[in-house]
Amino acid sequence: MEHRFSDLIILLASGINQRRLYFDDHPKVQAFSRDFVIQLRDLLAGDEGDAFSFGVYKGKFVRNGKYLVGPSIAGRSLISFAEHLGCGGFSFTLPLEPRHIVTFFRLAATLKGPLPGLDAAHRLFQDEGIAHIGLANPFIEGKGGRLEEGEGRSSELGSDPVLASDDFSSLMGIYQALYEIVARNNASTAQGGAVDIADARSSGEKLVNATGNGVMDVMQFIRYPDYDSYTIGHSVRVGALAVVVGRRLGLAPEVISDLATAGLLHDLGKGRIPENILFKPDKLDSEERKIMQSHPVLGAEILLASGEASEIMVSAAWGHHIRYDGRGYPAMPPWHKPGFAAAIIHVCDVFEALTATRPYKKPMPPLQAYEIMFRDRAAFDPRPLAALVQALGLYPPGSEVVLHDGRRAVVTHAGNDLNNPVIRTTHDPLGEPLDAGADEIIDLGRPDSPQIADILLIGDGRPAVTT
Amino acid sequence: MSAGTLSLNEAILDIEGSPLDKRYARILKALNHLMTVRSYYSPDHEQYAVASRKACAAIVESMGDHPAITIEIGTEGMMLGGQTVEAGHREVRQLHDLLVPLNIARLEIDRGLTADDLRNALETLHDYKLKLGASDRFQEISIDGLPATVRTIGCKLFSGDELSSVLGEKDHSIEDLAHQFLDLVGEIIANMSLARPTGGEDPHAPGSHHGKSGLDGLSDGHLPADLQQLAEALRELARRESDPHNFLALIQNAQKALEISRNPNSVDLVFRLLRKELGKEAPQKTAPPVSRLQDPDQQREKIDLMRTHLAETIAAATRAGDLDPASTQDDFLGICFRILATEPSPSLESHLIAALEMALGSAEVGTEDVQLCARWLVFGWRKKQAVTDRKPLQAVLRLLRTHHLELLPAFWMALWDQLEENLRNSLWPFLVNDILLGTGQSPDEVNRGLLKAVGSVGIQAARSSRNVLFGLPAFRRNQASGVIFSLPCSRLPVLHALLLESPLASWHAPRLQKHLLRTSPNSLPGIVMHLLGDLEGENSALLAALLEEEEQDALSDQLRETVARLLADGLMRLPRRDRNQAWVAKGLEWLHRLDAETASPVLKHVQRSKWLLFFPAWPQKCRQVAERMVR
Repeated sequence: MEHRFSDLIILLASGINQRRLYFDDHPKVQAFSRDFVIQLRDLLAGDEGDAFSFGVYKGKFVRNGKYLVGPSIAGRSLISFAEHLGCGGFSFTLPLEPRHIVTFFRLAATLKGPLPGLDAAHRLFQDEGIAHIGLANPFIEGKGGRLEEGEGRSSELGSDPVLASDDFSSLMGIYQALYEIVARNNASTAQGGAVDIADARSSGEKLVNATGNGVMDVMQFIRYPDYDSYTIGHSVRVGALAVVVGRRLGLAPEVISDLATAGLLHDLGKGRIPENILFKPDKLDSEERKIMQSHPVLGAEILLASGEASEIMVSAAWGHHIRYDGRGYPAMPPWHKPGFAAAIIHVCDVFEALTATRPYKKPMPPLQAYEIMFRDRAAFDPRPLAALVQALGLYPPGSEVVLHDGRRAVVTHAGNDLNNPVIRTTHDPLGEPLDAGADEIIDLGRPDSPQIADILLIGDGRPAVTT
Repeated sequence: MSAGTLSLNEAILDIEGSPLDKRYARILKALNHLMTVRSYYSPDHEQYAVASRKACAAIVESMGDHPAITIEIGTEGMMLGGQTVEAGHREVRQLHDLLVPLNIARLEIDRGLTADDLRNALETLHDYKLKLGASDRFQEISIDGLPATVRTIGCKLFSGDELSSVLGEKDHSIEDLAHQFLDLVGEIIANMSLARPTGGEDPHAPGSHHGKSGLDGLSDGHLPADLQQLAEALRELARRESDPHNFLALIQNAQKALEISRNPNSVDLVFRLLRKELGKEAPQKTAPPVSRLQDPDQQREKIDLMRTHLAETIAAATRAGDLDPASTQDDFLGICFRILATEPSPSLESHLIAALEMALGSAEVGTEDVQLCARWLVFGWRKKQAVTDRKPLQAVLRLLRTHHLELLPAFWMALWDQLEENLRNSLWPFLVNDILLGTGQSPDEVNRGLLKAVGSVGIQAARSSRNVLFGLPAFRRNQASGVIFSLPCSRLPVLHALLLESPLASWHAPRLQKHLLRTSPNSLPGIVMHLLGDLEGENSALLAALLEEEEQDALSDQLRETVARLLADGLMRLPRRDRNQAWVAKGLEWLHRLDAETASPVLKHVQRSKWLLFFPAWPQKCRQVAERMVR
């Protein structure tokens, strides 16, 4: 059920982004508002109470005491709106109508700065005729990590120290910026508009600088699904993976930064692919496949036309579907070899596609993804492929695993041995969360250490480590 | 690698781990897929119609000879053909989530199903689900409006009105109800013990055939009073527990506890535990099912295999060497050329040229880079079997001329070597242009190589490119590189012939004259040049024609006659002091070769002519040639 909440939040944020591009009566804006109301009714028809509500705190969405990382990454526009309104969250009840949501989108898209206070926000909503959308009081930080919602209700945020830290918040900010840039560029591309390379480049640099040398820093965002906007999140995650691989290969910082940006923009050409082909759930026919396979060329052309894209960005956009053995698309002469940037992005693109959550498939464990990639080794330049596996290990940092004794744990970093990382236990064999202090850091490479029995996947009906 | 393709071939496993019958699996997948498509598109969208047709076909085909299929919805999941698939299975979840809130226990689909029926059925069920969500009280569901080929059978549940009359207005907590249930169960057991008949089966003992478990037996109005009260208490539980599966789970577990222990306290425990687990405050059960835990040996085997693969990949990476930074630059160049070959829009083209400028303007550009450029250009032209757009070539030439003049010959040689004749002919003017503009301090052999390339193109091809040639930058100047005179004229006859009639003629003609006289004095053009004295006016045209026709090894009759007359007149008028020049004897030979008839009087004159009555007027060599020719 968690993903339905995420879907709805992301739908709201996406609707705001659409309204920024278009006008109230535009079919896309109208469609988003209708979709939201339909999905809201669907959600509330189940066991989810009378209202769909979520909080906003420190630039992140909060629900039932948990941070919603995926929607927070994808929903910067909605978070900004809440911050401008001075509210601590939103609550949607029935019988909400699409016109209310359209007005909500409009206000969110056009409100330039903070209002004087929550009262002003309430008045604004009232004046605009918005009904069935409540504004929660802002959160107040209390003692012991508890948040109070201003009306006596309080909630305790997830005990994961990583998510509560300031480092996470700054990284979240970077990821939100990355997400927005990709979303904005995609939308601009679809309209035939210009691409903001400078902004993308700046965010790519920030990602590289902020993540230092830690694979964990980068990887903790790789795990979170954003179902509705997986095309955007995909690009962000590919950029992050490119940073990991680039570091492992010992590339220069400015090259790694370029690679991060290249990852963000590698699928830019998809903005020019008709949506009925891009999102077709059925198999594509030959004509549709041809159109779909033109996206690398389109992306490279868009980047070249900007006049600001680097060789790495263009090479990655063009060649990220070209295999190491030369097959793939766009077709190139047999004597041509893709550049190293395209080879790195190709590896990251495939790995991300295999291991990420999508509406139509569950995520694959990294081990299985490696298996598939190794089986088709001719497809991949061995250098970035080896670098990826060595950097992430067989159990990438951030992975949740089950030990053979039944305990659950999270991988903190790769150990000396690829298949024996260092872990921190999080749950006992009965599945009960461990109290602070009762958890254990274990190097699974040591003799007599427990072994990993299984890896849990986000989006597979299981909660993330943040709970 | 589409995950969708993987899922089509993946078997659906039932709750016991056995694969579901393929026919039923296909039906479930078809329904699930259709519902997924429905979530993307509006009901009247074409994609949805297409998907419904496919789904209908799959369902009907899977039914085979069966007149209908039945899908039963139970606590554990969905049952088809005696196999149960877990409710949370991804191929079942959507359908389960649709049917359960509507209290549908069974879905029947007839073989006569059409795509319209399927769509209408789904829409009807979705509409009901929405209405249910919008309602604020518990109510009996009765699904109307389904097509004839789709039927549902619901769990019978009761409206609030019926119950309130039984239990009054007091709002009981679930715990209260559990205790009431327990009290009644205790009484029933006690009564049963007292009332047990001697011999034979106790008709009221739980588990006996007479004492039916489940709702049906308890809803019978003919039961003893205590059982009736039990039934009412259960109904009240049903009212409080709107999800029939939770309710059923409650009852089934309570019944089981009673059967096993015959102790009402066990039922109490079951109620409390179940309530805790199913309640909202209860922590999520996070322990993974045992079946997900893999055998350690299997896991180890997998890891070992991965390590082997990884080791092989690392070895391959080592063999491949370090990543070459230049590889991306080369890639980038190739991409620019590829896009240029598609004749992009002017604005994109200007960006591409700018990109090429950036790439080729770099100080690090070397021979390999220009050879790569040549390779890309040839690749693009070869695909179309023609040089359809010269702009990329002109851009490269301009960039090389500006930034790397020394690499221009290497570029041309790389280009020329790869081209077929027809493509060479198209590029010939540009090669000539670059040669005339000059190629810097190139070594002689390099220049000779280029000139050889120029000389390899035939007269027809060269002539046909005349207009292109004369429009190029070299012809907007009033002088050119003298490198074209580094080869004998006979090696470049076509080029010189064209140049004689080009805008560069005034620069070219005197130099050609000197060149001819110096390097080919005994060739026919050389001989003619001697006689003409200059290349003014018609002389130039005559020489040009001679050069061209000689290239073809066959002078036309007209030209032959003209040249023969020129030679005859010229030789006859040659002052005595000039007759000793080396070319004169050769000229007589040429004359005879061209036209023996015209040559005859001249040769005789040479043989016989006297000076001062005694001395031969012509040098011995000339007389010998004349004598030989006449003979």
